[in-house]
Amino acid sequence: MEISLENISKHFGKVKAVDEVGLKVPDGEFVALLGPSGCGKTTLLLMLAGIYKPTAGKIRFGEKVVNDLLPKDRKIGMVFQSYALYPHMSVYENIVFPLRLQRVPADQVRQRAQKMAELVQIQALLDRKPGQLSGGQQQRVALSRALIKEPDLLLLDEPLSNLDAKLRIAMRAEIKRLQKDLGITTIFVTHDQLEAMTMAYRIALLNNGKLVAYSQPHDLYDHPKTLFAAEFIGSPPMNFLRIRIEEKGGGVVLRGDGIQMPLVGEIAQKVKAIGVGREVILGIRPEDINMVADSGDAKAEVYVIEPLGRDMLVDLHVQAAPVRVLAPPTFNAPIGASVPLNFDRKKIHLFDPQTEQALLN
Amino acid sequence: MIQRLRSAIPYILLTLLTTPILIGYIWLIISSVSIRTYGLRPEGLTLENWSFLTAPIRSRPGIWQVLFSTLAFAIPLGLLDATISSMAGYALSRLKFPGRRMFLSFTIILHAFPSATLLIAIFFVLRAVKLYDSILGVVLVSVSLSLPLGIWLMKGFYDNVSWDIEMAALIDGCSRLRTWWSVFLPIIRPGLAALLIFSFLGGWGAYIIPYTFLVTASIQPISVFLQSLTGDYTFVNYGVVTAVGLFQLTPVLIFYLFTQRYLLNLYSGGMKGGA
Repeated sequence: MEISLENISKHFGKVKAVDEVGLKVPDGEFVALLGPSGCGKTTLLLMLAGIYKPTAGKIRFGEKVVNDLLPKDRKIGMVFQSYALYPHMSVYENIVFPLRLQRVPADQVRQRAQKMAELVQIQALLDRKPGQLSGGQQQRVALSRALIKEPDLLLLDEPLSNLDAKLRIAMRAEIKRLQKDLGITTIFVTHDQLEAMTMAYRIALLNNGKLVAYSQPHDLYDHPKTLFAAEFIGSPPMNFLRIRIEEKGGGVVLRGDGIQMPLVGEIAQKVKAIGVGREVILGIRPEDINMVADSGDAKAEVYVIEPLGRDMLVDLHVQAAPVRVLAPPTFNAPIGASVPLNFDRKKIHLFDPQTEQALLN
Repeated sequence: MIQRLRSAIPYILLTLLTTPILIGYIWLIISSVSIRTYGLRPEGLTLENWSFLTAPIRSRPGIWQVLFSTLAFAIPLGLLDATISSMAGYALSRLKFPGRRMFLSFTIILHAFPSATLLIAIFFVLRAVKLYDSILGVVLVSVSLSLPLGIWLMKGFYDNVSWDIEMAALIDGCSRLRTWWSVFLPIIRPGLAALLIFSFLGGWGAYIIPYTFLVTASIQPISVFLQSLTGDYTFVNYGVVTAVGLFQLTPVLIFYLFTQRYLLNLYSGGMKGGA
């Protein structure tokens, strides 16, 4: 089912928890609502669930406006961060509770529960109480309770944040696969950009109640439209350096404290168009910097080296500014050593320090 | 050795503290089967004191009539208190409505209010609504006096149930009422059971309200009956008084024995690990 939000706002007194958010989720798509805590993503989800009523704007399920529809009439399933299993019911009773409420005939209830239990592999747990289950098992139960109704829309509120790191990776893949197999339109809330990147087909990035970006993960990663998006997406996060655009000969130089980065060709023209003499913020991801050439765009001092196994995360200082670089595991320089940095010309981002908007693209 | 002594200290202290009460119970039992006692030493064992079980004492109603009146008072009291408290507690815990804050503060104030000061006012009210000297009257009075505490306790139990569970139920297809019935009540059942028992026992032992508002002997509960045995201008037969007292006490003791697990819930105010 296609979901559309038309200028949705939710105010709690003077606080604008959600501020004129508009977005469309095509049928069968998997969308992440991503943002730091307090950005309004859960409020948005609860409006979709029908728990909160929007202060302004329209929510459409398909063609139908559902603003005033009660949660029970929305044909949705939801998994909560705390799983919210009914502690007094067995796993089986938890799963079939939505069917009981719909007065589904008993033989069908059993059948569908069986199918659901197989799907999420909890057949052995049906007689247990939620209190006797591990976090991962509880999550599977919550998932099957949400899915057994065959909902038109599945809502997931931070579904993985209560799991340990290893299980989280496993469930990430499993939920993604399940969503693909069942083809249910799914919206999930997360504060973890990695979760959003890996699972979602599209990411809605929220900040202070406003929608700041809505596009596919790789697009959000490669072409962030705002400083906030650039900062929030990616781990380790993008580096930011204050620089000035200066003209030199026919080309352009980005100059900052300890930085001197000459540009030529197409990129030089683009940067020139931004305005010679302007102070801007240079953004560059840790993997787009290398430390091999002799004379680089910047001179940096090694501060800390963190081996990640597959590569090394090197913390450096360019004068006072911190810069992180992902280096190959062979990287070998003592702490305090001076190393050159080379920035990949194709991967640089420039942002206006006032409006925080991207200037290239 | 020192270690052992140290761990024994609490027990020694508790034993010392409970001894007087224990002696009281022992005296009660001894006295109820003796003609006379000198301290704890009985003189002449007899079952005569227990004859009230079969024959009424002088002009008073029979004990089984008294027992019936007591139950007719205590059972509705417990049921009404638990029912109303469980509903009002939910509303105060979960719903937004005008006057909610005022309701909450009144609940605390009324709970702290000494009910004895209300006796005269209640007397006029009961007379006006023609419920003076009726069991229904004392039930209603007792329920309203015990509601503040009950509501407050129930609200505490509801507060402990996460909003997520309520939202999950609403999304799974429950109405608000159904959520309360199918999800909340089972979860807070230990608390509700505790309140029911507590309230019932309160009715079982209630004295001042029934004594004030019930004048017909045949509908007076057991505590008033007991008092009437000592209030005569004649010689007080302490053997009979203790026997009747024991008769009133025994069901309560047995009840406590079986239900203390629930009653403890009321004081811990939660159901972690339980339910």
